[in-house]
Amino acid sequence: MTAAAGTKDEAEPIIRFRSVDKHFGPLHVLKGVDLDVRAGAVVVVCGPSGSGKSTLLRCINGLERAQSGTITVMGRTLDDRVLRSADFRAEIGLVFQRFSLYPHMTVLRNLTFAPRKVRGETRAQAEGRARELLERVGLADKIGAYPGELSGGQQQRAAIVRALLMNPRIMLFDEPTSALDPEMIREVLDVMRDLARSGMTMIVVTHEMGFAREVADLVVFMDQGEIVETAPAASFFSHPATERARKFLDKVLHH
Amino acid sequence: MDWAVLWDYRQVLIDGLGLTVALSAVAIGGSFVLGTTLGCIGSLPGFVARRSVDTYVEAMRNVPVVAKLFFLYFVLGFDAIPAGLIALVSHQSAYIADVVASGFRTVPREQSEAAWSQGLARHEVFVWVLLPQVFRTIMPPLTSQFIEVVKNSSVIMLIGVQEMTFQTQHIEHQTFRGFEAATAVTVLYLVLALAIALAMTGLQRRFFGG
Repeated sequence: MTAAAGTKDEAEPIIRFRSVDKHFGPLHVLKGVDLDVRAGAVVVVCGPSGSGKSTLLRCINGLERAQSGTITVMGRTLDDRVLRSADFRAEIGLVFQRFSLYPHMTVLRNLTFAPRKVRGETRAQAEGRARELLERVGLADKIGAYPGELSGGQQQRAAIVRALLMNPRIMLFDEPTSALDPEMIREVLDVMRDLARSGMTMIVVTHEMGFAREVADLVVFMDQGEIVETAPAASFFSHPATERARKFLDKVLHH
Repeated sequence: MDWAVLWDYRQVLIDGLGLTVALSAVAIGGSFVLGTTLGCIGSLPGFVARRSVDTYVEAMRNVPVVAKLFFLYFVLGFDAIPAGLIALVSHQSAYIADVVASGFRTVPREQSEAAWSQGLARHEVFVWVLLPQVFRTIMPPLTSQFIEVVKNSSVIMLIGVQEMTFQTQHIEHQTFRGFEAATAVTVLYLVLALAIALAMTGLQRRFFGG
């Protein structure tokens, strides 16, 4: 019995959407979405603006709630009770396009705040781990700075580190480089690339097709609230199966 | 011109100044606490909470302080000092509630979402992430509101409270030195306002790094 449950767990995807529907007033933003993401996969979600990419991502950690269908994350079907659990939420890291960091706290406090409050780490523990990770992303000298004193790229790297310090099992990225100047995009993607190689489960909404091609295991292409195509990155870019994906790729790759 | 008259009446001025400072301090504290509470309630999700706060703000903001004062003193029969304090607090708390509520609207949605996603409870998000950002934003308009309390406290003289403006009128009546008395009261209010502005700038530096 136990053994059977164990094998089932391993086979079970870490994120599963079944017939998920979501409306914002008259707007039907997610239409019968089905999705399976296995642990350790890097999934890039792409598609035209307004296609429901961000909503899909935000459904994974309960920032948006589906109106019908079921979403199962880390073996738990999302409902009010599951989402009330601080530990559950803390296991899903999230990086926004911007405004992720708390502007009234130094970088160090941004990083150690939730580990101490939510995980009950001591100050020394949290700060030790924060220093170590900041060092790794090249921000050791910014430890005492406020977010307003950092460049956009530095802020995003710090935001990624902050999320990682919660020891998440899943990392969500909602257009993490879309608000950055071109020269800063690379430094953020480099950190994400390292993270992907470390085996983290990542769902990334992005327009960076180079990153998708190189790092993603799976590309999810959305249009008008539907998942139009789900394919391994290599085949998605070389021969997309649908006309809509072909048109989209044509636009983003040759602009 | 006879500035010596101010020296002769210095004790009267000091008493008036003392009372103005005391009344203002209590009224500033009261209107800050009440206004912040109302502003927070008004920013919670929920129609009833927001509507009730809006109604309070509109009702209090649209009646002059002096009308409130007369109503409290002559109609409801409060003593002079409580009437004055209630009038000042109810008036300025309405403005402060509005300032606090607009402060909440300046905090990007991502802030509370990020904190909630990290596992913080709603009240922790509110206390540790939202409120500090609200206060950082509203320090300048809050300073104006506090100065407004000091200036408005002068209307309490109309029901016989011997605060600063009352005392300078008293000096004028006794000595016919209107110009000197008016100058004295002007300078004293200016000094009080500057003191508040300085204190608030100090707080801003201390807590929000300038």
